[in-house]
Amino acid sequence: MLTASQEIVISYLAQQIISKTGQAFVSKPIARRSVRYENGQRNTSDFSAPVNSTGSLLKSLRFEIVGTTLVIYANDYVHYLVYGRGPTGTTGGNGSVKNEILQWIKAKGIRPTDEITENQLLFLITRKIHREGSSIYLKNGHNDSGLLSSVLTNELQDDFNGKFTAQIVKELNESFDAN
Amino acid sequence: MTTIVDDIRSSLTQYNQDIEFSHGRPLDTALSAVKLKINNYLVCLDTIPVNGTLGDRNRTGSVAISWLKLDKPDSHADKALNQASVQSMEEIAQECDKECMTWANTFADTYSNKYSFGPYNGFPAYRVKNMLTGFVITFQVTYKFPTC
Repeated sequence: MLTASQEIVISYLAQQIISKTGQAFVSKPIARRSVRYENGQRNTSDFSAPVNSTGSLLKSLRFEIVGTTLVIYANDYVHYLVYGRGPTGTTGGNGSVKNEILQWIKAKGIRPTDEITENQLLFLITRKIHREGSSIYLKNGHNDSGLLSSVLTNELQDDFNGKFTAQIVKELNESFDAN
Repeated sequence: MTTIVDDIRSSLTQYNQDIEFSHGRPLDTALSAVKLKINNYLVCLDTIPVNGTLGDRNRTGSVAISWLKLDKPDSHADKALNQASVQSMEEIAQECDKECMTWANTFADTYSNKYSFGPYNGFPAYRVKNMLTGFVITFQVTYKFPTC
């Protein structure tokens, strides 16, 4: 069970992690790849862009200290932003992609051209992702996109360790060993 | 002979009778046990891990004290963003830092015949449990024993 000061130190660490994670969502460019089909030719094009668009992911960040464990929460699709979303297998999707894309279309104010409706646009985008995978997957496969690699920096870890926690744990262990 | 916890408790009561004191409890338990009023302090003393046994001339203890106060819901972090009538979290942390260090020096003076004190380390604590701001200090004490 954590002492009061240990909980304060861990809360401070959690606030720093959430702040850095939020910054990464909003401003860190992630390498991606787009796919277009023109005249039967499959053409790819690489680009970089941050992952945050509607702001819902940023708002979902929160933390909880459960016993002696720090848990950071975010919307579940953050997994796909780190490891990419591959093509949908034979089991089919669960509708989550469609819902997220619809929110993204509305948040970005995207208006379909060529006299297609918003629902048709939604269908086309979603089908593309189901067939090819997300732009992050197309570029990185299921490898780490690097979205969160700048969060737990050495500086942050040193700051946390410097706030006596490691020393207290060491002393507690010595006290238990002595007894 | 009183323990260091008794000495700290007694010293805090003499320093400020409106301090709510908690020893060895997690924050949630400490908060639910006290009816903390705005402008009063909650002082949480961690369980003190001790190296050495009774009678050991090099017996030391590591003290960690969290000196906390309720922050208001509209307290901004920075003084510059705050309304004049509402204390910012920055100001609350500075106030707790000052109070805590004043008490710590008083305690060291009062009990200098019983303990010797290592240097203080400290850092501010902002919006803990979404409601508390303050300052945490840590220091080492070495127990003194009378020599014949």
